[in-house]
Amino acid sequence: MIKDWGEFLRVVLVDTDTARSALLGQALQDQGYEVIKRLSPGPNLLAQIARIMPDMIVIDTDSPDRDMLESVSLLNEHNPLPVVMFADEDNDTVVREAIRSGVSGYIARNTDPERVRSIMRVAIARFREYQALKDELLQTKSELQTNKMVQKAKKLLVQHKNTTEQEAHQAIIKMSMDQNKSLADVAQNIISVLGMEI
Amino acid sequence: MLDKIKVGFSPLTDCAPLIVAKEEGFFAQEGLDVTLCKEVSWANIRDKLVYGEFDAAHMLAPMLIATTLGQSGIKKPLLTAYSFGLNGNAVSVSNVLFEAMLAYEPELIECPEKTASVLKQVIKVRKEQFKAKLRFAVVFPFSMHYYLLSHWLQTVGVDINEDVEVLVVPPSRVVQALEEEVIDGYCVGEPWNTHAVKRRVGVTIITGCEIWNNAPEKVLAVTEEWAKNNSDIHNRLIWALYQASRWIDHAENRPALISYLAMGEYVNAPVSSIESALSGQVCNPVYKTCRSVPNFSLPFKHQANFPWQSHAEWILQQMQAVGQISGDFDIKAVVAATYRTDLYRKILLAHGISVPSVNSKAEGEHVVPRVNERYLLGEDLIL
Repeated sequence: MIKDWGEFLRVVLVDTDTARSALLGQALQDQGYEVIKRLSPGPNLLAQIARIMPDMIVIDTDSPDRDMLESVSLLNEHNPLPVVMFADEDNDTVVREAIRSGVSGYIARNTDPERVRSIMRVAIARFREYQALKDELLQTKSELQTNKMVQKAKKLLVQHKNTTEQEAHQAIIKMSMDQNKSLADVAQNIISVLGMEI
Repeated sequence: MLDKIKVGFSPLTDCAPLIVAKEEGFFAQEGLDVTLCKEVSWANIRDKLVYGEFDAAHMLAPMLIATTLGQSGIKKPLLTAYSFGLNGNAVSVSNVLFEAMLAYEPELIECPEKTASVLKQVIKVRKEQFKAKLRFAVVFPFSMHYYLLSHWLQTVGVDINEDVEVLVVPPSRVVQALEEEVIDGYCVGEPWNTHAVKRRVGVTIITGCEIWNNAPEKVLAVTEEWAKNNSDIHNRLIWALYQASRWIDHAENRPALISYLAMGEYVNAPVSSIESALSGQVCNPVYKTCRSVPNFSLPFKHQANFPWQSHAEWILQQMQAVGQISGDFDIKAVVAATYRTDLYRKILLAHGISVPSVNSKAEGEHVVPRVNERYLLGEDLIL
């Protein structure tokens, strides 16, 4: 979980150009961030980040590892982190437009330090919003899953125990309360016992 | 006066039509002054297209759909009226994993159709021995590489979300990741399979076309807004690319093509790696065998540049299968908005080229090529 704003945020900088990353590192530090490490890109980047566990990552857009970092939350439910891009001035339109459209996560080379702070702040806010949406989606997904399983269990009870659908439904709820198990667990049990006989 | 536009690309062999159209003058003939911008990451290409830095881009077909749906951070309606070609990917594994697989099938290198079930055995044994899950890399979560890998595993009941670990590694880094044992295998486009084999750090076990023959891969992506405001430039761009794809298909142009691709500002890979990728040879120096895979990558023939809506539909179904999208939504509407067969048809017909009159074709049914409405369609078998 990301800390609340105001606490010291621990940042990892990923950049091949050490002179540039030193400059940006200084700018971030001046704005109250703790730059805990400057990493060189490469296949071991993820493992290194997992060990360090920073609060956010700032990466040079010229690094192909951007795809890797951006995808962490999309595959396998790894612990996602907000990622901010550090772009050269030739990407000025992108930076400007990205910030204007509220996507943020972009810092241009010549951005003044005050702006750096607000960009980082927006990036974190957006990241939190996105995570909240994702969590909600997961919740809905598991509710749907439970619903489907209960329906299936009900159908099996009707077929095998010669009950009405209403009775089957009540039986499942009763089992859930008596056994102190979730509806999904009870349904799963019924499916694994009755489903086998077919 | 030429119209100036910027097009982003990723340095892979399938971006060839862009390079050829520029170097052979097809863009100039159409009154276009195209600046090709090489990008190292797919996320960069997406952002620069969405924010108007690029007019058009060489893009992973699933990324176009994901961006339109707002699945990867940014939401912006994109569309395509041109496919860069078919196939081109393969799955390679580390030497260690390959050795483990050989124990179940000594002739594995000759039988790609057995690779998934053999891998399943290895996964089962690892599970029993409480070993870590095998780790596979793909180039992006919204990519054919991910869906082909997932489908290949799923044919034998291996769940990509449960039974293996998947991470994203950029194409140019996969060989190093395999060598450093960060991953056990990957699904990636050429020249990165050939490259691993040549460096003897891995073995290519199955090609993408053996998982789904004549599968989509990259498309020319533009924003819906740009296409509306620049339809004339869009038309000329596609016609120039079509001519480039046709040029690539002529065998006598192969040496010139390889020298263009090898150039520093383009793919920047050794000539020998690019050569193998284009010739459809899957080789293994350790076992001294080469398997000919004629459909390894198809830049032009079999209507390779037509944006089949059945391709987009399969991609959306895979997105659902791996859990990237959920809930009820109108797949047909998304497909029709993103895969603009009507635009492709209009542009090609204006130049007297005959094109399919249908928007979709059967997928997963045909073992051999067939003639449909006077044009030849390739195989479309899905494992």
